[in-house]
Amino acid sequence: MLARFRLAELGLLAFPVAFLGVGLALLALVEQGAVASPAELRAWGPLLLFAGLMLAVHFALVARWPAADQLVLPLVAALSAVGLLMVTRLEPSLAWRQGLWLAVGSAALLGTMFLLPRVDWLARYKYTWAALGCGLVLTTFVFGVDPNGSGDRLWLGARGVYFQPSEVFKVLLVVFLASYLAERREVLALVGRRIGPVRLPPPPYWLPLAVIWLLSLGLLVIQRDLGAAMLIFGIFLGMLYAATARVDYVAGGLLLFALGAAFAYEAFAHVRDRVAIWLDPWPQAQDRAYQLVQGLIALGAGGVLGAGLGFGYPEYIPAVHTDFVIAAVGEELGLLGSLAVVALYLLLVYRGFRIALRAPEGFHQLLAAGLSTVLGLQALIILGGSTRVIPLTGITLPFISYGGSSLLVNYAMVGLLLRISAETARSA
Amino acid sequence: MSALDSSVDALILALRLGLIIVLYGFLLAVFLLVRRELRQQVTKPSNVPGHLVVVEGGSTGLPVGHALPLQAVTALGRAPSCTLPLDDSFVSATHALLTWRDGRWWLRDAGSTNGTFLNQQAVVDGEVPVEYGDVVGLGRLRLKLTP
Amino acid sequence: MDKSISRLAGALLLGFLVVAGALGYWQVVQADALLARSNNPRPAEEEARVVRGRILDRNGAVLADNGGPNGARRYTLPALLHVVGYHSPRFGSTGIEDAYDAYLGGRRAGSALTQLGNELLHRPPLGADVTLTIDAELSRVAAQALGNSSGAIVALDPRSGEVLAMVSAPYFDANQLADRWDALRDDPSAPLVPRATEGLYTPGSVFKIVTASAAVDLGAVQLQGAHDCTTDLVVDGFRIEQKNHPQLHRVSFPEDFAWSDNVTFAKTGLGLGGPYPIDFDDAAPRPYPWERDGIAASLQRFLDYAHRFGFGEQIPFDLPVATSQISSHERQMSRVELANTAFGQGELETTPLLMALVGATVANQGAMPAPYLAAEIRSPDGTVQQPHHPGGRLRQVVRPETAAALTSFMVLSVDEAYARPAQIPGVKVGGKTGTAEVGPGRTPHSWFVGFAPADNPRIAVAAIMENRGSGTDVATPAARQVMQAALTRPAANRESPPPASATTWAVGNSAGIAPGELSASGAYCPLPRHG
Repeated sequence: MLARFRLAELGLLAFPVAFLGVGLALLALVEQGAVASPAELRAWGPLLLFAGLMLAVHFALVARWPAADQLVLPLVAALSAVGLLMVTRLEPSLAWRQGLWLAVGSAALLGTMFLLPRVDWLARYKYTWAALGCGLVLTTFVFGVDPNGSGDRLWLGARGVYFQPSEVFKVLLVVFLASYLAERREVLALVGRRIGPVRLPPPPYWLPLAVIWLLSLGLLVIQRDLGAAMLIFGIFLGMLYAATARVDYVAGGLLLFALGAAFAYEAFAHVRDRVAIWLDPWPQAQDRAYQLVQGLIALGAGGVLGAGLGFGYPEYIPAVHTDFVIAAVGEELGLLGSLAVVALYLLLVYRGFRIALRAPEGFHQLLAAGLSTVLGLQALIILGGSTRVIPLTGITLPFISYGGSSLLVNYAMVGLLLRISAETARSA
Repeated sequence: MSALDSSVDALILALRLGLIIVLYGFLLAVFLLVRRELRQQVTKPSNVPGHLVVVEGGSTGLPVGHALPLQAVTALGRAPSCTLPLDDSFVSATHALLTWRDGRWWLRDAGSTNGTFLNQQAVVDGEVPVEYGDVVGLGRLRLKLTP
Repeated sequence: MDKSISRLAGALLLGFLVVAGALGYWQVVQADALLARSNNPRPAEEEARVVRGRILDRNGAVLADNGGPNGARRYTLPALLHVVGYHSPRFGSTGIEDAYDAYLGGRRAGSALTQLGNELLHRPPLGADVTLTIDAELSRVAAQALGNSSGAIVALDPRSGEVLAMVSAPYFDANQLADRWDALRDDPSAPLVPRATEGLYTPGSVFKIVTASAAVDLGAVQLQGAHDCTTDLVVDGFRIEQKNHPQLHRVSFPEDFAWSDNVTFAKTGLGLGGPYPIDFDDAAPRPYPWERDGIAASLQRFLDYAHRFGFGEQIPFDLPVATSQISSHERQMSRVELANTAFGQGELETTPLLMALVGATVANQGAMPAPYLAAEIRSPDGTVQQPHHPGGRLRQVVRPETAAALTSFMVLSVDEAYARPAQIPGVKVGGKTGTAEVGPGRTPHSWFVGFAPADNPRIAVAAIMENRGSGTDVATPAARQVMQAALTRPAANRESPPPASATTWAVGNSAGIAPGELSASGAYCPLPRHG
């Protein structure tokens, strides 16, 4: 009975909504000294929109897919609430836009759940997805524009409406790999042919590997998108390992990655810069490493309890509402806040992998595992870069950073995960 | 001037506290639900029904009646990297492949020297379906497929 | 595939744990180091929001407030630069601005509860006002008296320890600090040095107050009676010239003091070891006792009294005070060195503040007052604290009878001898001049230490003007101006406050309190410098 009405999900959804409400009220108090009365709907717009969207998704799930996992949506909602709150704090003019993208994302989530005939349907058109993805990326190589003036031409679009093809590419890649690997895993389970002392993996292994390696390098070189390169390669290696359980494939892949990285380091100044900033940011704290150093200082300024929402100085961190959101969270909500965010991602990834393990073996499993890997790895790359664990890259923190295409694609992926979860439950 | 000289200040402090409480309350709720879920362990329905029971172990040393677990794609051979490594001198490095697909088991020879046999008949081209009770022969091993 | 998927999940989860660790590292472990970095804009931002407290003189006149452009700090009296100090994010803080920064900056302003509230709510801190003992008007007089000379004038009330004026020259207008920083820093006349508290000078003859106090307190000299005083003194081949007043050939010890006779005082320093009374006469029997027995006992007693007067010790004060020294190797001084030191030369180095305290000790019946600048701290929430109370004493240096004797010597010096320019009509003034030799080819420093009125002193002054020559001609008139002005000011006319606890002192023999016990009885309670 409980399960049929997804009451756990409903109950849990109350928290993100409450969080956003308290946060927005707090922000209003700090910035204006007064809170709008509940009657002024416009002031409470973002909160009502958020609650409405989450409830809409919830009830859609109750109606059609009641057996899907009940923790995923609340976790995503919590992350989205943090994101919406932070955008309101850091760039109030963009708050409504973020809300709009949340709406679009929710629509995408429901779209993938309702419009997909079966999850297996995706597997049938794997080469279409692959071609589409490569085509998109190649198009940005040529036609890419740079609406933010950050120097990297990663966007397609015009007249104020932009989206990042690399975001779409990552989903297409996951779908393609899931079906490709699922199909070929028998062959891949075989030991490859010997060539001299080296065991060469069979062609089905190294062909897509080479293509992806080249694409990643291309992303790195032509687009200077270090983060996307890392993400794509990481997804590939992760899914390869999941499908074949062959550590030597992963090792080989890492070796290739290392070679590519070394080459990039030697050949390209901007890669050297990133590494130099990562290894020793302090001498360049006023110019090249400024963003990272200011981010770290902000984290330090937060301490354990945080300076309080609205009391930090995030204006000193460039791109704080996109790449460096965790620094603002750390400064204003403290270590308590930033660890909570990490915990949310951790739980979401756990949930995704749980869905993967319960799914029927083959395509479903790989797809769910791949989607979870995307979300987790992306979060890890930017969180790691912001905390100087790895070099800093310019990718977004899923659900929290401001950014439409990122939000849209991530919500679609979540929709796919929920669909897999629902189908698993249905066929059990 | 007192420590909290206006209701606004008091409210700000209260809301700051509330924000963290809601956040961690959520984490706690999720944690509790997960824990409850783990307690009510629902074993995942095994969608790979089957074992290979040893009829004759060859020089592997495996006792008769020992049940070898199967994966959806099981590589049989002498190489350690096979899913089921079988150390018999008449077994090739990668000898045979047993796959679960579309609800039944399929056997194919993976290029072995001495051939793969199903119920004494050689498996030469492509895949042959295997039913429960069938005996797979490779090298000096005889393995029976059981549910 | 289950296993590999689980392992993949495990790898990701591990990654999150690493990130969590990194967050903990930056937000807790490295937090202080990060915040201390120069590129952290937060301290500057926080500073900018602080409404800093004002610094006021004893009558409420504003010495420092936030009346500058955009609420910048504004200083009203350049002459008080080295007392008030400045507070600059770029150039640091000095003076009272620095010493009481925690109060002025609002970090320690008001009750603990208020401070906690401020922190949690990030309220712009309101600083407390600090009222000084300084009299701005008197300080102006002192600045005028200094004129173009480098040096310092310190004027304090010997009964209460309140510092009424303290001017170090050269000074500059702190409002122009940023514009003139490089020039100021490179200026050879060192305008950034607070000479009154941190300038170390050879005292010259003003140090004879110390030597004479030691001799009288020990009973080593006869106060009546005269001796022939015409010949030079040779100590181990070093000649000390007899530069007495030409008209006087037979003099008493007080006259030796008033006429600043180096030979007599050299003999005093050397003879402190006994036997008493010291024979100053030209015809005293040879060998001298110190030639025969050595100077161990004399040196011991001499150092004893010098330390009692504050030499070699840290003077407790609102601002940092350089430690005055007897010698770089005081326990191993030779006879020549002791002789020279006894009349104010040698390796002696003293701050103007300490010499003012020496004069104040004589004026205050032999008890060295505890000097202070900050009288009151008033927080925005109305809380008032008194960091110091008037009347505290550092120690009883010599017996009141000794002080009375020294007072008479110093009055004699003003009435009839070298300190005549210090005379004030209708007021008895006690004083001592000094012309401190600072090396061949260089003009000596001009010194004066004195107090008025001699019978019931209300003001004690030390004045030193660098390389201006004769103490009589330069420092003494300057000091007189200050004393005269001080006596007309309301502060000086107050009733003498009772000493904080008069029964602590052993009247009779001041040896009861050992050197090194520089804690005052009474209410000297300096507050911690930084909160």
